Formats: sequence, C-alpha cells, structure tokens
Amino acid sequence: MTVATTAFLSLARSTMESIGLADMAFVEVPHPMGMVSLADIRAKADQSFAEILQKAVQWKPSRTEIPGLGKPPYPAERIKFRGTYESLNKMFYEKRWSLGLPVIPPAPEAVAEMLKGTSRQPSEVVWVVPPRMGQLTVELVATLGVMAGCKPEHMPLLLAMIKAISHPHFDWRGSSTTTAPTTPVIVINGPILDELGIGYSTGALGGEQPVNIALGYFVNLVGDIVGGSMPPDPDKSTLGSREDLVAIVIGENEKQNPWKQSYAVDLGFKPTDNVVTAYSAYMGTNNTDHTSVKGTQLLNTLSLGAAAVACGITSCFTQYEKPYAIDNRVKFVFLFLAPEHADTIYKDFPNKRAVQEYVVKKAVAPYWSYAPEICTVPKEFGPYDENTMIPRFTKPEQVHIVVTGGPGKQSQVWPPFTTVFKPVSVLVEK
Amino acid sequence: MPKKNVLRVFWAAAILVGLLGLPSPAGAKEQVQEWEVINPSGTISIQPIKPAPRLASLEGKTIVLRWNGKHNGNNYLDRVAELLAEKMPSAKVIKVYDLDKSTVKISGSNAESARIAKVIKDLKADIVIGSQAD
Repeated sequence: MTVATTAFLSLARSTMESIGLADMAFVEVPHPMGMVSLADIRAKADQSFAEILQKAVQWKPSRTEIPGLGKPPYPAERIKFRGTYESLNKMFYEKRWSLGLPVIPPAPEAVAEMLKGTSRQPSEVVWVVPPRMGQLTVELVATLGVMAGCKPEHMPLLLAMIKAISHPHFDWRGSSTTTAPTTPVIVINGPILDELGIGYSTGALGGEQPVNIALGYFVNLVGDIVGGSMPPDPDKSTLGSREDLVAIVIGENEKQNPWKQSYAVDLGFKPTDNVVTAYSAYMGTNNTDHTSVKGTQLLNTLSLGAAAVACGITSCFTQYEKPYAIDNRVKFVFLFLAPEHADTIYKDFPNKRAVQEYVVKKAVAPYWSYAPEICTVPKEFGPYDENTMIPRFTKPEQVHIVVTGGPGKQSQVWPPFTTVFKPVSVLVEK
Repeated sequence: MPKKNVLRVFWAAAILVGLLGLPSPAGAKEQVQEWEVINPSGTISIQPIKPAPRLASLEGKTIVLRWNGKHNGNNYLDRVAELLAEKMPSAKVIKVYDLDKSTVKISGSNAESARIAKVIKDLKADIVIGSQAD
C-alpha cells in the first residue's frame, strides 16, 4: 500500500504500471506532505488512518491486466494521413508524438535513408525507455532522428548517446519524472567534433548550433515520446526549464585546451577516440569573472559556484564512490571552462589534478546554508557551528573539467541530479 | 525612350511581377497532401507481476513501514505506527527506516529498488505501507 498526495498520485500510479502491476492500494492524502509542520503531518495521518485500515484488508484491484501489451516492437506502425504540414504537426502533438514544436515528418523513405548511417539491425531494441517503457528500436532511433533534423551520419552518435543515457548510473526514470528542472548533459570528444560540425566554440551552449540542437532535440524526443515523460504527468517538473525541449549537447574545445589533454583522455580514452559522456543535471550557473588574473583567484570564484549550485539539495562531504543517500547528494560537478578562463588557471595549475584538488579544498559553504538533515559532518572534522565552512566534496575525481566555448570570460558550472551515481562515458562505434 | 529609362522600366516591372507572383505569407494556403509517416512512440514492454495475496485481517500480522526519505514521510508513518499500536495491538509494526538507514532513499535504479525490497522481504512482512511525497 502506498500513501501519496493528491498532486502525485498519478505519478505513483504510472510508476506502479511501469513495473508491471495492474493496480495496487493507494491512500490519497491532501497535498502537500513535505514542508508542513509536525502537527499538520500528524493530523494528516489521523485523517487517513481509517482508510489505511480499510484498504489493508478490503481493497480489491479494479483491473488485473495492463492494456496494450504484447505488440511487437518492429516494424513500427505506418500511418497514412491526409492534410497539410500544419495539421500533420497538430496530429503529432495531440498523439503525444512531439513536444509542440514542428518536426520533420518521419516518412518511411527518410527513415530508410537515416538507417544507412548504421550497420545495426533496425529491429534491435536498444532501450526500453522509462517511465512509459516504450521499446526504442534502431528503426525508431532513425525515426526520431529524422524528426529532430539529424542526418544519417549522426546515427552512430545517436546510438552512443542512447547507450550512455540508458545506463543505470544516469537514473533516467528519476530524472524525467522529478519536480526538479533536470536536463541530460552530453559532452562529446574526439575527431567526430569537426567531422560532424558539432559546436564547441562561440555560443556552444546557445541556439545557433544546428548539429548540437538536432542531437539535443533527439534526446528529448526519445524521452518524451518513447519514454512518455511529459508534464503534467508523469513529468512532474514544478517549473521545468527550456532544456526540456533540447538537451545540452556540447563539444569540448580540444584545440584551445591549454592542458593539451581532453576530458575523454583524462578518463583513459585515446585522443583519436570519439567519446560521449552523459549525466543528468540540475540547471547550471554562470561564472562571469573578468578580473581574476591568477589561477587561484579564478578558481576561488568558480569554487563558490561549485559549492552553491543546486542549493537546497546538496550534501556536504559527499562521497563519490558511494551511492546516492539522503546525506550523499549531488556528488560531483562539471566545470565548463571557457578557453580564456582555462588559460588563466593553467598559468598557475599546469596539471588538472591540482585544479581538482584546489576546488575540493575551496568549494565550501557555511553549515547554515545546507538544508536540514542532508549534511552529516563526520566526527573527525572536529567541532563546528552554524558558521563553520563545510566542504561539499572529498575527492578530486568529483571535479570534472571540460574546456569549451569561444573568446570571453564566461564559464559554467553544472551539477548532477541528486540520484545520479556518476557520469557515463561510451565510445561512439561506427 | 532613352535606353537607360527602358532598363529602369524593365527592372521595375520585373520586380513588381516577381513580388505579385510570390505567395503572401499571411494568406499562404498549404497544400493538402497524402502523408505516410512512422509512429515514433514504440510499443510498450512491461513484464506483468502478480500482486501479493490480500489479507483478511491485520490481527497478528507483520506490518512494515517504509519511508523513501521525502520530507515528513517518516513523521506521517511514525503517527501511523502509534495508531496501529493503539488500534491493532496484536500486529507487529516495523519501521524499516529506523531499522536500516540505507533504505531511506529514493532508489535511483532498479538494482537499488531490488535491494531495498529484499531488506523488507527479509523482515517477513505481511503488508508494507510506504509513504511517497511531496
């Protein structure tokens, strides 16, 4: 039996169905439960207790089977439609086959052309996408790629992105149904950047990057259409963000990386490897430091962002190797360093390890700034009070460094969603 | 007419014809056509599971209370435990969130869900009451 509030009962029901239960006993409590007084929450328990007792012994399922199961994943259904391009898009939106923006119609001929970009069988199921548990075949990767504006040569990259975001460490289900504004962040390294024209210089995270945008649009089409995660249910985003339309896809500016070693090479890949790294992120923050001339000065302001971003959900003394727990949240951070900022840091920190160690040391916040119950200070830290500065991280590996963007003194700090274990890196296989 | 003026008239006429020949964006009428498209949604793959048998009574049963870490869920369940002790004294009530802190979380993965489920199963629960959120 599950107790859920009025606002989240539908999410609880869809979760129930996606794990294979046709029905179960729910007790509905007036929203909210969180952030109310102890007296109020006890009163809610008093009010619902009779229903708990009743449903514990008298509840019967309203159905015993989940409808719509058993259909083969391949080939996908072909639809005939008579109308204008505008009415076709309207039909797609009404069927929850688009995000509301116009899409390129996935005609069978266009999808067949996309499939020429891979040697994988179109019938292969590459992911069962939660929470809807839609079966994503290679054919549908091509279909959604067409809709997003991708090209056949993007197919290996699309498949690599799917491999990364479907990894358990990413927690797709949690990321796509949470109330928080989360977005997939996908970092690309390797020769594929120039081969495909992936943006990594001026405005790399902005709008006028047709390849990055098409790739990011594809990711969100997969999540919302095959995964079925659209607001208001089961995507419970309180506000959401515009990244719900187009996921963050960014290349590393390897040519202007002063350390002469890319992020992927840091992870153990070869410089000639094409690598996709993905994690689910809370919204990032910008660092606009125009005046620091020393690496330490700039890292001080970046560390402030690393400590404060995703405020309210971050834990102190986070342990990278340990899974998410109530007091081990938001365990790493990505620094997207503009080349000029990277140069400034490099002058004082000729190796990246020293940068990571410095940020771990400087990413601290006063104890009072951590939300109740999620910062557990270890005994060996010693005495502390409300104003004691408490570290966010414990290991250099928790700080990920990517050089990206064009000229200017702007960098960004992007934290992970709370339940993410680690970023996932995979090779792009041609 | 001087040659220069002839050219001017020619180009003015050409531009006018060109403009008139273009469809007005505001009044554009799209062509109705036959489309064939692929349904992008994918068929659903869910392995149905059989629910646990229903209980006829809570008398003498083991009731496990599970909290996922969301604010106040424990306080709600604490009160439920008090009421159960009062109204159903023969039942054994176990607050798994007090017994095993590692269960106090949103699982974040199927593997972690399975681990938490096993912790609860090992308590030989007859019924589990979980509190969600928010």
